[in-house]
Amino acid sequence: MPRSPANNTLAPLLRQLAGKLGDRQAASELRWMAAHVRKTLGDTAARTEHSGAQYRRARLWRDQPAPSTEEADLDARRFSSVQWAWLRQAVADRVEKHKPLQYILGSQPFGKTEIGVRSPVLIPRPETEEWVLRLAESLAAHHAARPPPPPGAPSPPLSILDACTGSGCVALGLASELPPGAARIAGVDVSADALALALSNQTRNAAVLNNEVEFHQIDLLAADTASRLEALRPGGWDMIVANPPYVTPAEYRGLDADVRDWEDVRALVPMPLRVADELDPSGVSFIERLAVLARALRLAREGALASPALPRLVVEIGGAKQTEPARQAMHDNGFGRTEVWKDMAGTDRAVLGYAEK
Amino acid sequence: MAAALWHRARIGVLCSASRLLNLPRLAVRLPVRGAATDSGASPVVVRDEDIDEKHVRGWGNGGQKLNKTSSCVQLTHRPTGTMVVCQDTRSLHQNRKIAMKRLREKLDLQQNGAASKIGKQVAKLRARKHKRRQRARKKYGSAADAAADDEPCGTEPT
Repeated sequence: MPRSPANNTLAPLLRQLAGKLGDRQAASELRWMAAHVRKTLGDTAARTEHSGAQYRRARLWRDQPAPSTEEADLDARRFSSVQWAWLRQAVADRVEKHKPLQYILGSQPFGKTEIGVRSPVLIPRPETEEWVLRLAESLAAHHAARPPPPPGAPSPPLSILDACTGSGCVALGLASELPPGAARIAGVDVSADALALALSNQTRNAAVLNNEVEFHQIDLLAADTASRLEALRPGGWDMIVANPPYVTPAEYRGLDADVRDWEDVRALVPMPLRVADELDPSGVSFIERLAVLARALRLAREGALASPALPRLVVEIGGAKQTEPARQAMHDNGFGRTEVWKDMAGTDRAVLGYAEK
Repeated sequence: MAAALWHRARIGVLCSASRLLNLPRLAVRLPVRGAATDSGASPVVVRDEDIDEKHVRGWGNGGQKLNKTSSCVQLTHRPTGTMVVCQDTRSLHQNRKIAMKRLREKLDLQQNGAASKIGKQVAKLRARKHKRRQRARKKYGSAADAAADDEPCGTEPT
């Protein structure tokens, strides 16, 4: 085993990261960087999995808490000089330029998928993953419980529109969680960068996608949006899901450099309908726009869908301040009933609109 | 021995006959010698209802405002009070799987003690180390004990 030179040690890298992130988060991030560099820049020693697992089992036997896989992952003897160079650069980017870890590693797990990410497309958030998985579970249950379709006429798949798709995580996440044939999903975004990324993510995750997904470039704030969306699905849409921009301009000024310097402002702060207009200080203008679009696409009409108990409009929001305006916007646009889902921190995270009361 | 062979042959005939005649296959139990349950280990049964799953994030109001990455799954087995935590990977999905695996190992250990999978592996490792030391002692005398101790556990693949 070649010995690494004395100036290649992990301790200074860990110290640099801990200065920005705190000890625990720094250790986790360094471990993930190490695992990533080993996977992408080649790993010669094959002993990792075994020795890590055996350490853990031996400790369980001695009644000690099972350690995480830090020991094996951070074994400093096992990095080549190329890998060290990458690690040093990664830590420097993370600490000095505040580059998000997900952009350094190039991907973010989202449900069963692995979503490739690159600046400035918005990184999938765990809060989004939470409601998408919960929605998929609910839709899958409905799909399983639906009355058996007559032979020769299989029940049509749900037409789902993923507005502001960005990296495509919501569309691809739903497509992978729902049973085959349950839905036909389309993701739209104004940014060509985002769409290119979404398409590459579709290819990357092709193995786990059970349902059809397509991506289109559409500006949801333009005047002709409703007609363009109707043209996409002549048979009509059944559901709109969205993680629209909802950060207020005031909050945006206070955001970490990790977010502000690297992710697209249009993905975070809702832009005005007309270019010369003021920014909406409450951050709900895009959510209201989606409610208006949903009415234009006749999503709120009763009796249209096979299962009236399914939500028609599912929108992520930025906390309790936006709950009432979002619910009001949905009621104003014909949705008889609205529901609020909280995330695991107890914050209001998604508002759902139902056609029926 | 002969009786068991005869039983096997008879069942074989029955099975192939039922296949030819499209009869439902009979589920027949053969007395098997040298079964795997000799050490008395009982299989671990974990029901979904008994498990409390908690996902912990290190921050409060996140959403679009934060892009920190961390995912911690905490599983609690209510009947025994066993708790396992996993924050190894960035994927909730993977962490859940690893946490379930660890919960099973822990419950196996609690339920079966020395007869559990872990118990048997530890016993095997100990036996291997002991044999290695014995061999070194026989070849080189007691000075070899010091050398044998330097080898880390698990240099040979399991």
